[in-house]
Amino acid sequence: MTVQLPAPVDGATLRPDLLAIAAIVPNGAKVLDLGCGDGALLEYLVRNKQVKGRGIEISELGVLACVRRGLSVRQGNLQEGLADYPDASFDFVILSQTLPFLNDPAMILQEMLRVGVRAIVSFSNWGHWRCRLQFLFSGRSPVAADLPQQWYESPRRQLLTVTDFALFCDQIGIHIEQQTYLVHGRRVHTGRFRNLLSTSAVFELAKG
Amino acid sequence: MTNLIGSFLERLVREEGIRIPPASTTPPRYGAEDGGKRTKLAELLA
Amino acid sequence: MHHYTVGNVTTEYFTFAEDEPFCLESGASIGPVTLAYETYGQLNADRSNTILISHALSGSAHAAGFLDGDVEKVGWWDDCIGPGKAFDTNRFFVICSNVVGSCYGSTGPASVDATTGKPFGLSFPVVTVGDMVRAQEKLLDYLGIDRILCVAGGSMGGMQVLEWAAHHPARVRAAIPIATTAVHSPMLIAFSEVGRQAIYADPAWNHGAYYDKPNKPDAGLAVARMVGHITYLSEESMHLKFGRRLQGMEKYGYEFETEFEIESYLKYNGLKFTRRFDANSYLYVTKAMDYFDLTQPTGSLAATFADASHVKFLVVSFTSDWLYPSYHSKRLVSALTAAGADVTYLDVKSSWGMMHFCWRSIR
Repeated sequence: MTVQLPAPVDGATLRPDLLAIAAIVPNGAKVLDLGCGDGALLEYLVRNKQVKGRGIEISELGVLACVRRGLSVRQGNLQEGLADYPDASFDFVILSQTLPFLNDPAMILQEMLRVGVRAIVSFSNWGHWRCRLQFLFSGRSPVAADLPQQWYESPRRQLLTVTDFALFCDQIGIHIEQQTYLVHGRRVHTGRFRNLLSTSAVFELAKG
Repeated sequence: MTNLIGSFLERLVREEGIRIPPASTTPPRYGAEDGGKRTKLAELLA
Repeated sequence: MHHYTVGNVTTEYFTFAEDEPFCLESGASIGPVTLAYETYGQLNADRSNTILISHALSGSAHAAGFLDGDVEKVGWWDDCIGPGKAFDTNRFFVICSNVVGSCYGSTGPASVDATTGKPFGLSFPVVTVGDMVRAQEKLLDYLGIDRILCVAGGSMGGMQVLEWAAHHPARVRAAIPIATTAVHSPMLIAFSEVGRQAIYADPAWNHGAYYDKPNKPDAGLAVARMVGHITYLSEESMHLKFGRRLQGMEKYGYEFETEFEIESYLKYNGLKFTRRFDANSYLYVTKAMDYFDLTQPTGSLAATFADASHVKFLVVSFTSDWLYPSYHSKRLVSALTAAGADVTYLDVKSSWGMMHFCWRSIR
């Protein structure tokens, strides 16, 4: 079995939305990364912020990559994985770019805020003006700039916008501590037009 | 080392501050031709 | 294929409980007790680089290298132990010892009872996985090792790994249980019992008193091993490896000779096993596995690992393993997580079932 060693991660190579997440996490925090993939964010946090990190990842290749990075990762789905942790086991529970794929986002978000004091969620914004124009003029399902997948490429995906998510948090009693907006990876201050102008968002959440 | 157990042990050595014996006194030796068929699993673990 | 090896090795022996007998979980006691063991690599200055390898049902202390220079006698986990291998003997001091009750140099039913001058047979007390581990603990004391860096093993070896972490956590920094369970399931007990019944049914078994007889209960032991081999394979792997192919014939003979390749394979392995294993040891070691239940005494697996929150675990299971299915490992991982331990878990995709883990004569 030939195995590619994952590239070491630094600020220059880490995906911009992951960098925006990392910016929220203080030094030495206890962090759980849900759907941690190949472990790039966790490794960055362990190296640069001395966090105590754990991950949950569904794919065998992802887990193998994480172990090679020297990370502690469990193979499994998010729901089962979260259930095992006692209350407030972590300072932060992270969910990056996974939100549209969840079966029961309310349950997962609430579990995240049981297991962690704070939650950080990043997702692609289908409210971006390009998505709106795409739907309006071509009549085709919009493709998010930061999640360039066609509708048939993943088993299941919900399109959501920044406004949708903010309303949803309010509805299920979750408090938004801070919000970061990105346009093609660059951090921007979009003011009241954030839903129209941002391609991705990072939300820090707490119990309401 | 690109492997499961090896990487796990590597992390242990780092996190637990284990000192590795100065130099291995015995140079690695080759085994017999049939000294061990390596299964896919052995590749993964080894 | 060439690969690195630890080279020639010899088995060593350590004897304890010569004055004070060794008390067993059953309440019985025994002494003296000898353990066969091998070591590979070098102990570091502060004695902190020890890796203990635990073997499965039919394993021995000979885990790596060539026994007494015989290139035919390769250690059972030579694939993974050696210079530059997973358990890198350039970095770690690796110990493997034969469990008490077995027949590869450690005290077991085939050993001579000093009080009678005859082999124990069934007068040997029943041992548990807990007893096996406490005996290994005596070996560590003797070698002057307070804490081991890691304990690793599969199947019954994995049970010993879990026993170490649960009941001797202060002596363990990390644990690698592979394709194992924290509770021996009723199905596993059932398979053990079929194997034991095959041995009991062999007239040569003679209630365990066969050591001075010309015939040993080889037929019974071979059937026990055949049942074992079926459980180490998966349906898919039997399809892949044997299918319905016939052995040395073109069409059915409509008789009771060995016809199918799978029959021939099982018979061959059963017979081969009788040349290297003792039938009474098979009874004792399978019994020890049947008693294994780490949910006791509280009923909660997490509670059993309450003092092991500092132990780092690497849990590995195999998707096609139906003897120790992945959910056994997942249940373990949940309990360890709840206990606050650092757990890495991987469910390896495999179609070859336990044979993946059976590298050589592992079980």
